[in-house]
Amino acid sequence: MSNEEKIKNIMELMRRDDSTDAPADSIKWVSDLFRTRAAEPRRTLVQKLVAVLQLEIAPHKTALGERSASTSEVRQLLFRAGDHAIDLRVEPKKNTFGLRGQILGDGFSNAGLKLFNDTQALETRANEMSEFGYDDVPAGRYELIISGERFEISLKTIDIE
Amino acid sequence: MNDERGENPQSIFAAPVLAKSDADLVRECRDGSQRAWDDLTARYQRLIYAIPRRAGLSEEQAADVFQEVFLTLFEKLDEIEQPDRIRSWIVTTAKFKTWAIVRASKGIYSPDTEEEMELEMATLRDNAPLADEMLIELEQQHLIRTALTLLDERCRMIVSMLYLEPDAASYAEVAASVGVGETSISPLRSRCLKKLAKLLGV
Repeated sequence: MSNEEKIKNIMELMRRDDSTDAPADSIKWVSDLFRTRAAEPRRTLVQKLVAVLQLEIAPHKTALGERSASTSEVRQLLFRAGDHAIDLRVEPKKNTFGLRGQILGDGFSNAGLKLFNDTQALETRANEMSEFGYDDVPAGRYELIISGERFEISLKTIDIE
Repeated sequence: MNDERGENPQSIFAAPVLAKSDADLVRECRDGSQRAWDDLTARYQRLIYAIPRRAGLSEEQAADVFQEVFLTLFEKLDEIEQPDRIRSWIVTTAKFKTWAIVRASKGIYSPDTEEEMELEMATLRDNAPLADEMLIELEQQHLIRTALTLLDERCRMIVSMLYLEPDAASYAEVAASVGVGETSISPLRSRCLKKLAKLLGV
């Protein structure tokens, strides 16, 4: 469908939109429903942890800092947070970066992740193996928050460059 | 019906980026924020109410569906696994609750399980009240209304007067309301529609 056709489709959808707001008393009922919960906020059992950078391996370098024969451009970062570790790989692309990682330790399969700074907020979800990835991350300094079942891990400073 | 992003693959629109995402609002609701709950209600009330109404239910029945959807959301707030796909959850829940009333009105009791309900609904004709095509259109109209809130006031007024009023306004009426010459309305209309399309990822 061309853009012009898509705009015509938008116009047609608007013309056919005969929806109305829900009744005001029903909306009020819904609002009042929540007041019981609002009066007693859920006590969260999630413990918040701040991750600390343990190891950084720059491209073409080994863990000992020696020149590596590998031509890999990937930068590897290893963070630790309590009994958990977070393995991050930053891979340069044409104009952006790929970010891949894995949370080591229990309780983070299907965890929610938020990578953000003042101008970006990127959300994703880990898989069953606690692996996750972001494609096309612009260069910059970010914070990453990983929300698991019992822990929330914060990586305060990740430089994507 | 929805792909990994929670968007319907048949929809040509992307969800407009709002100051607070659905996931943000759900998280804040879980933390007990009345404001977030009211914002979530305001965001989806029209879509939820439209589903039973489009299915032919009366205003009273539609209000019942509306309240039941939010009651279920309230009860399951902490269990929703993917808060970023709350729209999909809402549409599906409204669809099932509407179908239950449709069946009850015909003297047919609802299937015992959600899977049986899904199978039954999958056999609906394309023009049936709760067929996927109808729900896709309702979702698209919801996304358009959401995108409209992000337009500047002048564009919002122009688009609303020309396309959303039961009796579309004339260019002269729009010009008078907006405070420009009548000959300006056509190019303004075109620019505003392009802005709207951009918000919808078109």
